[in-house]
Amino acid sequence: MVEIITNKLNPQVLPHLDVWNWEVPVYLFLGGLSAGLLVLASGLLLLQKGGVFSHTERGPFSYAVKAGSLLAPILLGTGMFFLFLDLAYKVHVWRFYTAFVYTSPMSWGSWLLVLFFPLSVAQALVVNREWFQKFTFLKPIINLTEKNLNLVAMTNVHLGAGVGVYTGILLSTFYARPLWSSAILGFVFLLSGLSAAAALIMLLAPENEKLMFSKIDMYLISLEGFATTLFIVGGITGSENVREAMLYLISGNYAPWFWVVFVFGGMILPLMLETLESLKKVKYSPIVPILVLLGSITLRFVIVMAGQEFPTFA
Amino acid sequence: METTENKRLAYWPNIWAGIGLGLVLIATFYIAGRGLGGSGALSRATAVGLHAVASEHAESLGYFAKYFGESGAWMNDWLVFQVFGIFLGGLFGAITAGRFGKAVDKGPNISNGQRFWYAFLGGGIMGWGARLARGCTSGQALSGGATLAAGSWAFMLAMFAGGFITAFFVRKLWF
Repeated sequence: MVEIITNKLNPQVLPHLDVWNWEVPVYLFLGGLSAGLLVLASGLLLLQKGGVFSHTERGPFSYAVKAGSLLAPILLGTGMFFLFLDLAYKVHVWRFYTAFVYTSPMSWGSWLLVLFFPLSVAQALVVNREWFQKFTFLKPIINLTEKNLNLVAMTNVHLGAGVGVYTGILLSTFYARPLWSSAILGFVFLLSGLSAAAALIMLLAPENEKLMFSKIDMYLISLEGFATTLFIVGGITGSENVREAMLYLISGNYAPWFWVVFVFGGMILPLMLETLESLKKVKYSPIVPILVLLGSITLRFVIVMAGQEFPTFA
Repeated sequence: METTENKRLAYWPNIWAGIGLGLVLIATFYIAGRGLGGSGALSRATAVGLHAVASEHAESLGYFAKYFGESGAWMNDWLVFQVFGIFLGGLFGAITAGRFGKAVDKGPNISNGQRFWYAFLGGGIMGWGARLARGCTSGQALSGGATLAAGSWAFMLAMFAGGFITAFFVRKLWF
């Protein structure tokens, strides 16, 4: 019985479960975005001069590595603040850190975040050391991290991917919400987060780095599109309640947002424009990354909202 | 380095754009089962928006009540998708032609503020008229006209006549 109630399958608790407002989708978006930024920044750091594939001296860090490393913990912190706003018992937040329950995605997420913050901040301090080295108390951290920078960056790639997937797993383990109970949702959110991160860097980076991120985003959108297709197909061919929930998403009240803002505006149109940009047929326009970011946040909103409106026991 | 100005492409030739629009219209009858429309989506969005804040009042209005079907998927209507699509398609056209940017199209003798107020006023009158006529330029003239509906042709002739007469009085806004 304890299990049934903790998994929210008890119909008596269902009326109280339609409780996630804007805070949760915004957290999921910012969490995915910051995870994507950490994966891209750390991945590029490893590929640059002095990274794992070169034996030369470490060269200057690119804008993407600097900005991505710095923004990752800041955006995640902002997202977690929104998550904190959503908590009903705010003073109980510390209890997440009194145990590790390996069957609980929230427990995995909480502990992943404990690793994410120090390691991403340490990387951000080193790659932006021209700003931070004047603070003498930070010097030991900067020096220690610099000696092991490749190891830190490699760990950060995995941590970022873990947090990116986790933002989807958080939803998909609620199997009383049939729309969410899809194993591929974590990958849809990870790929969407990576694509949003590439878009944000594209928006902020200097001209000479923009085109590279347009290309990276092009590939990421393609993968995101296939993952989303599998998510939809898996839903439609699933059990009756999963099928009904998926049909509600793709042909219910959220359908215009899902198809037009997320699929067409957030994936297909940017993919077409980025392809033309890469072929040098079209000049870069800031509206392209903005569309990707809008699509990415819309995805979180429609999944969270449509999922809550379609419980197993209606 | 080339400037944005000299990278701009020419507008599409009118005749080809017209043929393209006609083909889109045929495709919409085939795919969506009905033609194009502009004002229907706004009317529907107004009804659903009103329902969100004052549901009983919205349902009591005969005009809006028709939008509240039993399925609950009130926004799942072809015209809603189409209106979002017009925006995205326009964006694609503007970016690929190198014309995307911030600008206010207006005559030389009026301010931006005046331009917006007149546009708002004209848009309001146009929206009201479109609902009275059960369709706007795209719903009545294009889609209705294509099916040779007599009412739609009367609408189209009246629209052009009204346009020419109104233009006489507001021409100073543009010249």
